[in-house]
Amino acid sequence: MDIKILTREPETLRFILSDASTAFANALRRIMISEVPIMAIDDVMVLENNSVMYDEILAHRLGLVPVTTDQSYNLPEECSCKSELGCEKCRASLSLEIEASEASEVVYSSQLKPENPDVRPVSDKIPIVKLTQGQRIKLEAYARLGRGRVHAKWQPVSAATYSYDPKTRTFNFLVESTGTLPPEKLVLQAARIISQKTLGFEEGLGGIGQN
Amino acid sequence: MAVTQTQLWNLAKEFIHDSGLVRQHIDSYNDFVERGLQAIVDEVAELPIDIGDYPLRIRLGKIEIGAPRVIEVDGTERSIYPAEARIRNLTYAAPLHMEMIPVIGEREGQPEMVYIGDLPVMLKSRICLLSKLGPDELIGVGEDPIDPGGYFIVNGSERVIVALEDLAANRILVDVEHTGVNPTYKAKIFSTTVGFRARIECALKGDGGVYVTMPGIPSDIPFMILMRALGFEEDAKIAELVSTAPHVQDELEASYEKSLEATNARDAMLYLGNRLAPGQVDEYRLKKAESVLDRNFLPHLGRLHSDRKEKALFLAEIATRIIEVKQGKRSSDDKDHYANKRLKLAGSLLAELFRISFRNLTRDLKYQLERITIRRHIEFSIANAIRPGIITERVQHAIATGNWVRGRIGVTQLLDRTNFISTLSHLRRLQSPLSRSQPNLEARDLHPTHYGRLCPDETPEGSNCGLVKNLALSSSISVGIEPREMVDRLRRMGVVPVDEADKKLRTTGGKVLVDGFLSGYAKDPVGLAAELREYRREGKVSSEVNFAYQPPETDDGRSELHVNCDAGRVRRPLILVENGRPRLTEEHLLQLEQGRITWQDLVRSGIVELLDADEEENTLVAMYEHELGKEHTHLEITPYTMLGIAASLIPFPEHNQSPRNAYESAMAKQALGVFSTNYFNRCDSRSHLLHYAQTPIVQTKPMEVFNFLERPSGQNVVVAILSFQGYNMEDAIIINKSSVDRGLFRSTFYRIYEAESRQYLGGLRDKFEIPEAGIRGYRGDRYYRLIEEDGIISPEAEVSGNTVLVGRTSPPRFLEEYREFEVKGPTKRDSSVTMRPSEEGTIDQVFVTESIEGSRLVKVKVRDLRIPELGDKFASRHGQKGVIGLLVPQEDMPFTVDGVVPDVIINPHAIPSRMTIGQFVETLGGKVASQMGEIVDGTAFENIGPSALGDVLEKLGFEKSGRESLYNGITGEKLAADLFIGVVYYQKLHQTVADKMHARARGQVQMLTRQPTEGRARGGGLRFGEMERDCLIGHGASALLRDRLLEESDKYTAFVCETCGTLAYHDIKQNKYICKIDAEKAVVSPVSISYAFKLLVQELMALGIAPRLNLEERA
Ligand SMILES: [Zn+2]
Repeated sequence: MDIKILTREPETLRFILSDASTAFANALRRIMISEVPIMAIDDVMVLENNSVMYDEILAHRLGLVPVTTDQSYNLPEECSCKSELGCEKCRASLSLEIEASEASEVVYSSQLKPENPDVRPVSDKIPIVKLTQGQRIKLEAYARLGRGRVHAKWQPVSAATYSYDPKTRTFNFLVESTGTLPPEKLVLQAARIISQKTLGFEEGLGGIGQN
Repeated sequence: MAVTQTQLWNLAKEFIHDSGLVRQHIDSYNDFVERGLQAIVDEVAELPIDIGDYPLRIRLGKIEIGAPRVIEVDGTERSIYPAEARIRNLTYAAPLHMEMIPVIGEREGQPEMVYIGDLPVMLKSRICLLSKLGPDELIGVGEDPIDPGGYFIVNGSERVIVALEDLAANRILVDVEHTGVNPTYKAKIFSTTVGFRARIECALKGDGGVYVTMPGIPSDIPFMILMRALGFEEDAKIAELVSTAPHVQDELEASYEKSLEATNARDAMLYLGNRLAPGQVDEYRLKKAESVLDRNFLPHLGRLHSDRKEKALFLAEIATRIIEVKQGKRSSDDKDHYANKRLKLAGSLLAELFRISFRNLTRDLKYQLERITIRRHIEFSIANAIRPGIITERVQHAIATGNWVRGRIGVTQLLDRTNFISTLSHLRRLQSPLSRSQPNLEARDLHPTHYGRLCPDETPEGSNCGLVKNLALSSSISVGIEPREMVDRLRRMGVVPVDEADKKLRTTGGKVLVDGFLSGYAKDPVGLAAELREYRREGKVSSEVNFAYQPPETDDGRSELHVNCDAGRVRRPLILVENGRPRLTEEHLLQLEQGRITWQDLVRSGIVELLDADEEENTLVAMYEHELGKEHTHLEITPYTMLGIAASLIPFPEHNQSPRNAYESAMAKQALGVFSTNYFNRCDSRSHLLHYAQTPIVQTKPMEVFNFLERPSGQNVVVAILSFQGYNMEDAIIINKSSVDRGLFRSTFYRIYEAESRQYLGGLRDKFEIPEAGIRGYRGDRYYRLIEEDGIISPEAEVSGNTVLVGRTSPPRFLEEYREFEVKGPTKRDSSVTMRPSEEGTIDQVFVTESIEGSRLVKVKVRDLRIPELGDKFASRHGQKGVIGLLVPQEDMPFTVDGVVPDVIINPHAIPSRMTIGQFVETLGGKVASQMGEIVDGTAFENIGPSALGDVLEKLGFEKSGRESLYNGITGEKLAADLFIGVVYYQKLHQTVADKMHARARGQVQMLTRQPTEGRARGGGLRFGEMERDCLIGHGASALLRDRLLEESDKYTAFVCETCGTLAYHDIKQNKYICKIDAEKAVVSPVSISYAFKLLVQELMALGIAPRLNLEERA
């Protein structure tokens, strides 16, 4: 197997994977979509909300705001706290408190105040809700690590795709990150997950071999 | 003129804006309020009060309507806006005041302005408060600024008076019936005056005689006798009136013979009298006959003695037509031709209703005054004697229930608020009075004269097919003018009245009919028609009037000129053409765009005109300018305005098989979207809101005029066509789960629960509180957990099935309940309002207010988030509907080299048999639109078309065909074939699984039959029906059959006396089985039967039939 990087931009990566099986290339793609853990807002405590948008929709929208991932956090299910709420090792909070003073005002992702600067919205320009004078929102949002197969908000890529030539077994990959992690890191992580899975599989097989 | 399609669309838009989408209702209501009310009052004019000693009359003067208002329980009067009426279950109505002048002898007393009742106000009509407000002000009073109006609010609910499509009144329609040996030639006339309709029939029967039937006289009357009764005694004169043609006159021979018993007017009148009051004295019979003749025969011509001559002329004209049809000089009338149809709108239907209730009011007033004045002599007040409730209640009840006068039902309907389109479409709907249980095949067919007037696609399937129709965008309903005006003008233009016309004119000239009445003869009807039309185009004759020339059908037939002035004709606009050139120039269109002229200016200056179906018969209309020839008289404005609101949503409909467009027209009304922007202060009992409603990227031009772009109902999704493991077979669709995660097709469902604290007789009333445990009907502590001290649940509480929303206690229902608890005094019972057993959600809003009776009214709005799930129903705009068959994770979905993953996968088998090519074209259009970032125009007949879209795709680097190579997301292999993929606008339909899902293990049974209840709301069982039973019988699965139909249903142990075979019973006190017939000889055995069977046996016994059950020991 061989990898040749074609272009490399902050959020996009194009590379050629040659001499690989379709199964491997596809596994890489699938894992990038559904298994590389990234952070996303998962729990919202709405303290005040008299906007026209319901709490559940607001929470859903916040969940879809891409936030940068700090991989030093634990996956909630693996964290030692074993708590449903989580602890500082498995969650990062972002808070939002705003009241529209003008006739109408759009709340943007930039107004989410992160507790940890490494877990902050990727873009400042994502509109969250529109408020009219006197409407007020106060909430505490918790971002956690998670995987894309649970919910699309934990998908680190906006595109992970390839085209291939079956004869030469070369795959022309395109990976476009949502901004939560740099694309090369994503590819690397995906590869590591494959390798971990293989190791796990080997361990399982080992048990059989000894018998 | 070299105008562009866009410019012509601007013209069409100008027309639609000028007439407004629900203008027909509003115009009709305004006309009723401004003219109709007074006309009904003037008909009564004076009330004679019979009080013996001195002559008292009440003269009725002006009737006036005020502004919408409400009178609270404490008597205060406030003006109200519709938003308040909806929330508080009030009626949006305005008070009527009428001037009443007592006249004693000849001396007029002091006029009194008396309140006579309330009239519901049509929203956005002239007397509606909203009609004077601008968009921001409308928002201020809690309205959606683009709500169309045109409906009523009665007891808080929005009711539409659906337009009624009826046969034109006062016209002669001749029909041939082929029932007997000889065909019968029959003319029907629905003679109609305000609020009164008489059906007159005139038939040429097998015996050759002409007979007339009319209301009030039970038998047929020979034509000649009726003519004589109307004052024409001589045979020759009658023959002369009927026709100058000898062959027509000859046909009357048989009729003379049938009338020999009455050869003069008096005898004829007595002949009628004999049929009305046989055996009475001559004077009485004459009086009776004259009154019936004047009141019931052709009442539209007047109801006085002096109108008889005109009636005779009209009757003669009827006879002429029948004879001409018989002789083949004239074809029978086509009842389905739109020239013979009129729409009855809110105004005329309300007029009928108001007339009846007003008559009741005056009758009651007369009675009250006679009673009061006789008792108390002199000193009376009209205001005290009048009961305004008569009108208020009658009218409100009729609008609230749809039960109109003369037993007509279903006149009003609850306004459809599923989405904005369904609301508009509902307001533009027509209903035919024909029975839907009869075939009426021709009446259901699309008629050529429907073109441009009614939508060819939008009609329901099934029993109402073709009977319920919808207005086309290019239709306009005439309001009408007084025909008198036209009659006078015609006279001045040389039309000779019937009785002044000489034989020559009558033989060679053309008949001129004004609103169906023969008002004279014209020497040159063709020239007259041309002249009249030119007057109209110059603005000298009202643009409401239409002129239709009907040439003679045979050499010796008569030509006719129809002058139509009446209301309710469906008309459509056309551009005038002169010498092969349209009168409309580019200059006009430019001025129109700049706002320097309006549609009305174009009408007034004869550039465009509105034609009814009658006048359209005289035209030759070109579709496009380049097709114009010398012979053309008119030019279409745009072809696609022939469609109605719902069908106008379909892009590229001309590529679809026609029934698919009809299906989509029905489904567009079930799509979730933004039905109104004031949903937060509306109290619809159920409603849906789509979270991320999008405007389609493939649009049609008409969408703009009915605000679909502001109130859309769907989303643009990437659709691929492949079978994908078969999870989309049988029209299922596969949806990308990640798209759903991202918010695709999420919606909120709202339901309103209502609770009122009623006051009962004896001062008892309901109370909102937390019911004490143990009270009668108490449901158990956990259901009351969420309600607060005031008995009402608080917003944002999470609720599930059977949770109490409003705790309420009521006094005992029946007096008997007291007796049981005499010691403790009257006890209360729990009458709390709870969630439906199968629903859950979050409390959205709580309205606490006061009803019109002054009792506390609580409305609780519960919302529930509806995320697409397996079984939810979706549809494209091409009649392609399906339910979700599988939600697939994104990584498993096929993907393109660009990383595009479809949101929806539909099955290729959905296409060939349905032939919805329009969906393919839309897919291409959606792909182009998404790549170009521009809207693609898919307007019917005038669009870019599939091949040009392919060319654009090619330029963008795609396959011309719209196909792309995709990779299998599961294996990573390239798919063997390229897939057709693009962007299509999909709609989420309101039938969601969450509303339907239901299962039952055991539960309630019906009291009477002891079988399981039916229906989800009652936790019912699923019916094991006849066909299922047959299946088990076929398999010989007798144990299962017994299990389903007996053991798990209504098994019952009955005791039967073996001696006599009747039902016996077990007396617990004596521990003895008793048969009342055999007493000591009885041998009673238990038998397992269905309880329903036991019931049947007993019901038969109640009918006097004695069934016997003969028992045998089980083998
Ligand atoms: Zn933790």
